[in-house]
Amino acid sequence: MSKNPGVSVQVTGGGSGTGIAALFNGTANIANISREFKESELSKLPDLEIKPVQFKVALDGIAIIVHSGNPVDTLTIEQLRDIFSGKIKNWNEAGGTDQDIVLYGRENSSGTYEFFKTTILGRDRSGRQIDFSQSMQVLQGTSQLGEAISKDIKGIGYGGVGYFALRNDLKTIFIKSSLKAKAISAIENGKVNYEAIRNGTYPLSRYLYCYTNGEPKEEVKGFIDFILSDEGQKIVRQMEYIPLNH
Amino acid sequence: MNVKEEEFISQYSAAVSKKKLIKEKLIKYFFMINSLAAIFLILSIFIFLLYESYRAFEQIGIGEFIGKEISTPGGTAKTIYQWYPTSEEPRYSIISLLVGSLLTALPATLISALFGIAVGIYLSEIASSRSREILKPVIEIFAGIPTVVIGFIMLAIGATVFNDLFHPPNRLNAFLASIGLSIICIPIVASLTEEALRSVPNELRMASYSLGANKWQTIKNVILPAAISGLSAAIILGFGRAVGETMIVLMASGNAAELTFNIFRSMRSMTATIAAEMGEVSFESNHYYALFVIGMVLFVSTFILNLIAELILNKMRKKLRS
Repeated sequence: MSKNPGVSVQVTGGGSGTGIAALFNGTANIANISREFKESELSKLPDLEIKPVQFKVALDGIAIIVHSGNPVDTLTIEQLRDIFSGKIKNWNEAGGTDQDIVLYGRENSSGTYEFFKTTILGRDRSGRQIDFSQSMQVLQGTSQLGEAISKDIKGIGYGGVGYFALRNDLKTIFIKSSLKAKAISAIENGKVNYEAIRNGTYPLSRYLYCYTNGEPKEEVKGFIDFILSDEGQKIVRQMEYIPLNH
Repeated sequence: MNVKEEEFISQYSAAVSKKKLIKEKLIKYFFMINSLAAIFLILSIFIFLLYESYRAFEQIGIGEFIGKEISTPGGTAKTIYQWYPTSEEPRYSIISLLVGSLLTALPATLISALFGIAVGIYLSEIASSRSREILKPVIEIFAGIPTVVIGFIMLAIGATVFNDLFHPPNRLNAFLASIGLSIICIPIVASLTEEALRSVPNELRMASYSLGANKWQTIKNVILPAAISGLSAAIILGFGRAVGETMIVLMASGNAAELTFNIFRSMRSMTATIAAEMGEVSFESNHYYALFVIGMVLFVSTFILNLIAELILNKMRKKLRS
């Protein structure tokens, strides 16, 4: 803002749904979203005369975390599905010690919830979408979730890589896409595994988007150009998200 | 008052009476408008909730908010009570949330009735006027602690202590939340109990003592029975506060939307559901309207609870006055 004194940027929190709602209402110029539009949201576009334009601005990796004292290091996607859908209820069924699994997650309207559900839980044989177990606890924000798991040896949860990279009281799980595949973690040796998240070998990576209504003009365009610039992408990295390139 | 003075007053008041009359009327209307505005505001909140929930009933159906009937692979129909508003096959049963609210509010009411009434008895019957003067404001300050602070303490300290001592299945659970709720409900019950006990006429106490009853016998057999309606109103109001409280439950209960009757498991209350999901819900979706249904259920239930308590208190005041 010091470079563009005439322009002020106002940010409102909430989840992806909030951003989309604000874009639809016309109260926001840019909606920052961590998922694609849903069917229900797309169906409203013609009525509201809104033409969303998408900008990929950064990447995010979702890490699976457990308590640092948990002996489990690696889980397959299938195991993760069974754990988070409530099919596996004890850690000894996933290579751990004999104790209950306690699930931690995010609000059902958050982008992270939706993303994890579609990529990990997926669909059952009859094509029905699998839901998270009802016993999954819901915490407000990823930092609170990390805090809770760091104190709960039985816990497992998920959240953006950035929050967990520097914490040594939490362990990041290595994920295998299949039994034979190589196990990959979003955080290796205390560092974010940029390579795997960017090239998609890490299964839980996603793009973060800015959406505008129609092609952006003037200040709005300037703001998005700034995010995409080297300087902006440096901030993306500082915030422990994954920059688009280099 | 001599004749001269009276004359002067009547002359003076005649002069100012017109001006005064207008002023008094204006003041009267000002206060009336204020109280009408309060009623109007509450009424419009109710109408708004009703309108938004009506749209939910229209689009989702009333039955869905209780349970959803699904056919199991075996071919038999089964009713499920699940809250999955964002699923591909959305389920909107608020039963688990209702049970969750009760699972925190009932133990909290029990605890605060126990301690609150005891504190009330102490303040009204036992404490010297000096210690009452100190204690009463201190207790009332407790009711004024921001609930987010209590929630944070329960989350940061309470959960760890409780977990180390009892090893519950969930670190954050209904019991932890109900302890947090008690902290704000005890002062409410205590000060209402004190008010109820102090409105018992002193003649009753004196009569009891003159019959040879000691202090405890007087409290147990005379004063508490005489104030029983006031005590029940105090407990109902405490319960209403516990049902409506959001922040403590949101932070300390873990918010798993599971239908459970185990007080040491994580559960989700109605208030926490609105607080957690309203911020990120997509605008005017079925999920959005469903949250208003929860809001209406909450509004109506706390309204009824307060109404009952108010009626009981009114009746008691009339009875004691006559």
